[in-house]
Amino acid sequence: MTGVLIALLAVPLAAGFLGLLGGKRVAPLLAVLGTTAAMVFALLLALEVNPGDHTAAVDLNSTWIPSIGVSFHIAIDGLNAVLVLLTTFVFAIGTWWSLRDPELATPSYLFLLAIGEAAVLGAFVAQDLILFVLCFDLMLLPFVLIAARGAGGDGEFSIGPVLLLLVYTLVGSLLMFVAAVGLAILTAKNTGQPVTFDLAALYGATLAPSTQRWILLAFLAAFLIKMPVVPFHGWFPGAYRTMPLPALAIFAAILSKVAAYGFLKIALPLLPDAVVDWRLVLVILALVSIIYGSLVAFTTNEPRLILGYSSVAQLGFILLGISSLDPAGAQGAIFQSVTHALVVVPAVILLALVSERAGGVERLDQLGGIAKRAPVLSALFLVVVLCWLAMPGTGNFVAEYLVLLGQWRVAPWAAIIASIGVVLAAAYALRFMIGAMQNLRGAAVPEHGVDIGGFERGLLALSIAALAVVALVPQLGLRPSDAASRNAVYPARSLYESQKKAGGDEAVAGVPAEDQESTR
Amino acid sequence: MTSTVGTLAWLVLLAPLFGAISIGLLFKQLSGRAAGALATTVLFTSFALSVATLVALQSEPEESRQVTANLWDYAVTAGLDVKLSLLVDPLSVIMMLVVTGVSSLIHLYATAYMVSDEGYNRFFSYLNLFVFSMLVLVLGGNLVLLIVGWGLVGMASYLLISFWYRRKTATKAGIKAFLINVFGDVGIVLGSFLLLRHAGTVDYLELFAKAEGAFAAHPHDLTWGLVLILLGAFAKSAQFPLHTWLPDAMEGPTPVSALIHAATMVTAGVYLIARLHPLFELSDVAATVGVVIGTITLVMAATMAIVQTDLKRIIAYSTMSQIGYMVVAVSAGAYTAGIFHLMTHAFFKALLFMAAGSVIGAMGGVQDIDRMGGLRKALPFTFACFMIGSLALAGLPPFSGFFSKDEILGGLLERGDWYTIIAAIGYLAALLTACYSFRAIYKVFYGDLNEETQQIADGHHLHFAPANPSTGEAEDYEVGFPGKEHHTAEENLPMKVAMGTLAFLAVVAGLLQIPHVTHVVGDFLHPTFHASELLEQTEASTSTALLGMGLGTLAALLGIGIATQLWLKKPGSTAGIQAKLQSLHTLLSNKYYVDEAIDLIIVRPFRWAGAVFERHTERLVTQTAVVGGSSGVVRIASALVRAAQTGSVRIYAAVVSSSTAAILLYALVVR
Repeated sequence: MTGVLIALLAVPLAAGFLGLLGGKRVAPLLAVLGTTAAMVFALLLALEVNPGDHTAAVDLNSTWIPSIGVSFHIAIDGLNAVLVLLTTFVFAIGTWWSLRDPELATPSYLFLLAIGEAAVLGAFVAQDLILFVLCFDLMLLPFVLIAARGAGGDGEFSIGPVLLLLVYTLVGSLLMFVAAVGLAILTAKNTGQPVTFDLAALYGATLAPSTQRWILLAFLAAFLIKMPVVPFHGWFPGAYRTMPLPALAIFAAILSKVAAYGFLKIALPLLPDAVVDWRLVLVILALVSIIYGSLVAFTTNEPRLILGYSSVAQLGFILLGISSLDPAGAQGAIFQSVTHALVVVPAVILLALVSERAGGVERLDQLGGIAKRAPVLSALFLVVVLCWLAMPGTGNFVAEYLVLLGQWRVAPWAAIIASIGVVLAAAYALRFMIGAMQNLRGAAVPEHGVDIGGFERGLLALSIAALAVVALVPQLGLRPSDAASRNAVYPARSLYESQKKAGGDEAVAGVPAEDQESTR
Repeated sequence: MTSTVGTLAWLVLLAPLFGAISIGLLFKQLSGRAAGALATTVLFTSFALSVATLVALQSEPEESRQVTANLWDYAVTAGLDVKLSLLVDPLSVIMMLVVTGVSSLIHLYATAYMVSDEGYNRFFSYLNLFVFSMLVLVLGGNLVLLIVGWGLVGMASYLLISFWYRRKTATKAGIKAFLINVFGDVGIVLGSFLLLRHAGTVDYLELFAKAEGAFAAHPHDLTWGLVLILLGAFAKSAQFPLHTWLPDAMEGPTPVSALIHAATMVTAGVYLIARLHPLFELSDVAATVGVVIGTITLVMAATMAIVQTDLKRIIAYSTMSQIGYMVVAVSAGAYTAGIFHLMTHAFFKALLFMAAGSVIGAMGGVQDIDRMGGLRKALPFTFACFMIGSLALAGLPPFSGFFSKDEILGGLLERGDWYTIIAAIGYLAALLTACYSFRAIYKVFYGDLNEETQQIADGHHLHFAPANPSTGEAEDYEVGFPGKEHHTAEENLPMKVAMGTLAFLAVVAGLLQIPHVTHVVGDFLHPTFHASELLEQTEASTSTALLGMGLGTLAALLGIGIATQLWLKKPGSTAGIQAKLQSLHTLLSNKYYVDEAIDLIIVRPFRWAGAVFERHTERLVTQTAVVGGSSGVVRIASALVRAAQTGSVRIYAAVVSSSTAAILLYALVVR
């Protein structure tokens, strides 16, 4: 299966590159083939995962730059299998949708998306710290360039948001890079072994808590900006406004999830002492994001920003699950990464369709009354909105339930505050739907509308089919990461529990005893 | 895989889902009444399957009338074990029968009533979806599936309240109902965490088996868990102070009011308390909270109904009040009585709403009882049905409401102690109930014909230019009271059949459970409640039963008498009373200002915070970041990018690869 793993990264990239060489005619065809192939590969790889086992199901380790201990080590395991599958799905839908607009889907644009896909997949499968950091940085660049293309022509002002995005995330990334190097060197110093960036080797040797703290700080800078979490979100409104919608769908759905994954893959296992020390800070950041994001989403009049701020709030939930250090919270965080991505993609598509029907206007106060003119669009919109607000019965609800359960086990007060966000989510999602689709016809909506076309219908049907699968059988998404997520939180969690016990507090209850073993 | 009972129960559940999805997918193809016919057929099938389930369950020996039927693992991870499982026992079967039975009749009614509405197909798709959701709620075998059903009925209710979605008042009422119900859902979610924490399971049967041992050392956690769960029950069942959405929910079409906001969904809270009775019996505090809130609600709603002038809202308040009785009953341990009243109430309340719908049809969408009068001759069938429903609601023997309400109050008397006071309040509210029911009857059907109702007596329906009844705003025919044509029971056989059947049930259903004579309901439910000690304490002795029935009859007669005096004999006399009690009238017609209080304490602060964040904080975060810290970087980089932009795309590719290379180089240098 290692061949499939290489193909997963190489095929979409190669397709993009050949498209660039081949020109306008072949590029779209190659893009479709590349993204479809990646999806098939991801599915084959995901089927290899044994849910009871947290170790890699498919593993490829070859030397890359031996002089500095960097290896090309990639693997599929329980933690990343579902996320990898998700990535290929989102990129496929986003790429196919881009093809709808020939002006947008130039060979260079498709090549950039292909680089993005390879980089994101690389970050998910990386088992080497430097490889992870490189992919983490690289995945942003295509989107910056796409946003710059979109912003071009309007002069200096509109390039501002793009640069803000670049500066913000590069600052975080560079700090992370330094931290990664520092971590490996200091670990090598401790163990007396040659420097290695291989995660499996680093997991075994934890640094002194004081050292861990500044390293975590640097990782946090990268992850919290990328998610983004309030107050590190300043870059996103501008980026959301400038990016073409198909690229935005991918960007909003997937890139933030790599940061969430980074917590579970890197921060929690490598820096458990520091994470436990700062657990409360993370919980508070999560809660602030949830409440603040929801309130602004409820107030703003720009549909793109409603989506953006709601993502801030939902990423807050993901962070809340991670910072519970509880297996249920971690499972919830991974599953919410999946369900949130699956709902963002159709939501952006719907946004585009709505704006199309209002002459390009994206102001909620000028929309309204589209449902009567486009009943099929309206029905699909409703389904997506219900998933978006995590209606019980959807996969999104199961994810939120697990996140809250995990946090409840360690800090009930935090779960209670977060649940205000559950109610607010219903408020902003319904406000969006009612404002755009219902009530009387808005100023920007023409009297005679057209319903949704076959192409978009197909894309939405695919997205909704994916949402239906996670709604009916959430276990499909939860099962692969069962052991792996438990393993990821184990070091931090056991540390947290022993501190709590030492403090004379009541132990963290609710988790069966067998969960507390570690095979590491 | 599962037993016959289990398989049948899954089929009962899936039939309406099939209906909802197929109508949803075929909504452009189905024309005329096809969607209504399909939805109704599906529902009657579901009802027939429910009856089959009943028969299959009854053929089991009594001690094994608790069947679970699993399909697949839903969420099994990290200490949570949720399967897609149904629990079929007498309680869920009686709920299933009531839900599918009443729903079938209301579907039948709606096939005719809604026929000229533009959204006919959408309506039936939603209506089927609602029934599916309700069945998930009552059949789900664990707390998570309960929450799923709980949320889904809230969703269906939302969709149907804002069914006429171009009407602003309807979308507003919908979102209000939805938010209050999500608040309740959150209560159940958090409550389930507390139960899961100590019992280690969310499965009902396991939970009940482990509860006593698991919570012996943590009584407070049990109490808090149950109080949180009660929040959900109160939100769904419109109990104080989470009731404000129910009157507004009358924005939905009348069949919706009959089905969801009277007969089925709003009684979910009662079902929930009865379902979790083994837990409530371990926590006096939680049970007392239920009794107190139920009592407050039943009085409050009855007083508000007295001054209402909107026909549907009068019935809505009466629903709130009657559910108050049920909540008191199941919280006090009188489970049989509570469920029995749930059933009879479903019959007579659905009937009342259907009759009201027929009146509103004749009145061309007018719901104001001050504009009605003298309609008994013009609408004889509707009048008869409304009368039967009102007599049952007022609790006059031998109508069904008499026996069921009486069993509740008799049970409270029997339990004694402070429950006697609750019973006394209950009788007082029963008097009010009789009074406001007959106020409506007299104002709608008696008295002289006015200019408008004269036309109805002459055989015409009223027609007005389409307008929003609550605001008077002009509209077109595509929204609002169903389309261009209006329908009454008098001229539509499906409506007549549905109402006739319910009227029959409203008259005779009481005979199932006459104190010390028949106990069909009690015997049937016995396997569910057999372990309860409280149930025995609330079984009225002969003397208490007789006393209770006497008091109940007296209260009803007195209430009807007062109404007769005020609104039939001296129709103008209420103005004088109203003038004397002006402040009380203002308080009641403003619904005790609960809406205003919630707005002030909760809605406004959130809106204000949102506005401040959006206008001020966000500007700070996004703009200061540019101008301040990184302005230099931005300026340099913007020059670079501008230069790069003028070049070709291949420069971008070069930038990407060279920056990657730069990072690699950096790694080498550091080494």
